[in-house]
Amino acid sequence: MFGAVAISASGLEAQNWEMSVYGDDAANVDTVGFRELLPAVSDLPPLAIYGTGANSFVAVGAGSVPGSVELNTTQGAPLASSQGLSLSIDGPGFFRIAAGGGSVEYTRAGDFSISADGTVVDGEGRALLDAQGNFVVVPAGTQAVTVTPGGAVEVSGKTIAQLDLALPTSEQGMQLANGSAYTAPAAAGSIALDVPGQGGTGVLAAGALEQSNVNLGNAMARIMGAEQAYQANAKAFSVGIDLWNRSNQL
Amino acid sequence: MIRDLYSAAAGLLSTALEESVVAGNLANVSTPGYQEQEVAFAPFHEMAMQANLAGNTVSLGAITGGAEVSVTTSNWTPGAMQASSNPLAVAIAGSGFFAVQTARGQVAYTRAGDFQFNGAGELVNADGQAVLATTGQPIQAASQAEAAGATVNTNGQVVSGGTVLGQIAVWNPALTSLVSAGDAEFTQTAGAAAPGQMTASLDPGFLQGSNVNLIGQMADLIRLDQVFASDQNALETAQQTMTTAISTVGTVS
Repeated sequence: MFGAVAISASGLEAQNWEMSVYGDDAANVDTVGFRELLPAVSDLPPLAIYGTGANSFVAVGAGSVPGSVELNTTQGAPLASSQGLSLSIDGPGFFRIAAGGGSVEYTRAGDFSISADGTVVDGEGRALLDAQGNFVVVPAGTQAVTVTPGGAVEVSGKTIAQLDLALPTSEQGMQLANGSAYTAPAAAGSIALDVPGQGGTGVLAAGALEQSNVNLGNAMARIMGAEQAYQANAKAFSVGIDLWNRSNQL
Repeated sequence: MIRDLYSAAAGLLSTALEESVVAGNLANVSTPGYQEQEVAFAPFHEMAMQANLAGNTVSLGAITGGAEVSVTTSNWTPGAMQASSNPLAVAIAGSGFFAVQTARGQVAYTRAGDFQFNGAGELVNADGQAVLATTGQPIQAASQAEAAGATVNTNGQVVSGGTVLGQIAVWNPALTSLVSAGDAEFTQTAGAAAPGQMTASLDPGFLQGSNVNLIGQMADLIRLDQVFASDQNALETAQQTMTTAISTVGTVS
C-alpha cells in the first residue's frame, strides 16, 4: 500500500503537468501564430511481475509520468489586420527570423512592421529573413509595401526581396522557444526552403494574421478534466495513507 | 487460532495489492491507449479438517487459509474515442493492435495511434517508435512536402498528394499473451505465437483514450478502504482471542 501512495503521487504529478500545459495554452489564446500544445500522460511499466502459473502474472503498474506533447498543427483562423505589414501563411510552413547570435528561428506569427532603419521586423523586433538569408530592408521614405501570395516583397511595383518558407521534415520535432517562435533541433529533421506555395508550403496572405489555434472552451474543458483526474489521484493518495496508518496501529 | 491471524494477514496483503492496482489505474485515467488493470483472487489450497471422536475419524469439511491475488489482467474494453487535431491520428474500431519497434529492437503492441513523422521522415508513435506497415517495415516520407501533407484513411493507408506511402498494419496477438510494458504498450510473453495481420476498420482523426472507469475505480477505492478496516478488525479479534486463551485458559489457580 506504500507502493500505492507513491503511485498516486506520480499520478498527481502527471495530472499537475497536464494542467500546466493546458494552462499555458489558455494563456496564449490571443497570441498571434501560437499553436496549441497537447500533453499526453504515459503509464510507467509495472513495478513487479511474478508468475503464479503458465500465463498468469501479478503486475502492478508504477503509475504515470508526463509523456509526450503534441503540437496542434491545425491552421488558426485568419484575422484581418491593417497594422504594419501583416502576413499569414495559408497552409504549412514557417517564416524565418533572425534570433540573437546569428541563429535562425521559425514562426508563423506574421505581425511584421518596418523599424526606424527600414528593416522588416516581427512583433518582438527580430528581423525577417528573405530567401538569401538577408534582412529585408525597405528604402527610406517607403509608404507602402506589398507582399504577393508567392512571397515577393514589392515597393512601388518593384520587387526588393523574395521571401521563402521553411518546412521541416517533422513539424512535431520543432521546439517552442518563446512566444510563437520555434527552434529546429535535430528532432525536426532537415528543413526544406521553398517559395510560398511550392514544395508543400502555403501561399501568403497579406493584410491578415493567423490567430492562435487555441479554442478557449476546449482548453478550459481539458483543464477541468485534468482537475478531476487530479482529485481522483488525491483521493487514492489519502486512502493509501489511511491503509498505511491502519497498518501502523496493528 | 494462529490460522486466523494468517488468514486476516493474507486479506490485508491482498487488499493492499489491489489498492495499488486501483491507484495505478487512477494515475492513468487520462493516458491515451491505457487499458485498465484488474486483479483476480484465488483462495489458498483447501485443507481437510478431521476430528477423532471415540476412535472414529470424522470429516468436518474443508477450510482455506485466506486468499491471494492470483493474476492481474488487462480490461480490453476499448477506451472512449477522442477527436484529435493530428491528421495522422488513428483509432482501431474493434479489436486489434498497432505494432511498433521498441528501442531494444523488439515489437510492442499498442492501441494508441497518435502517429507523426520524425526528423528522419519515418512514421512513429508519440514515443518516437516506428510503426510497422503491412510490409513489416516502417513507413517513410520521401520529402518535407510529403510529410507535411500526409493523412491516414480508414484502411490505414498513409496518403500524401495522391501517393500511398504505406499502410499501417493491424495485428491480432492473443490477448492472454500480452504483458503491459508501460507507455500504453504491451509485449508478448516468451514463446507466445507470433500474431498475424488482420483487417480492421480504422477511425482517422480519433485516438483511443484511457478505458479507466473513473466512477468504478473510485467505488473500488472506498470499498478497499472498508475491506482493509474489516481485515484489521479480524486480525485484532484473532489476536485478542489468542491473548485470552493464553492468559485466562492457561491460568492455574
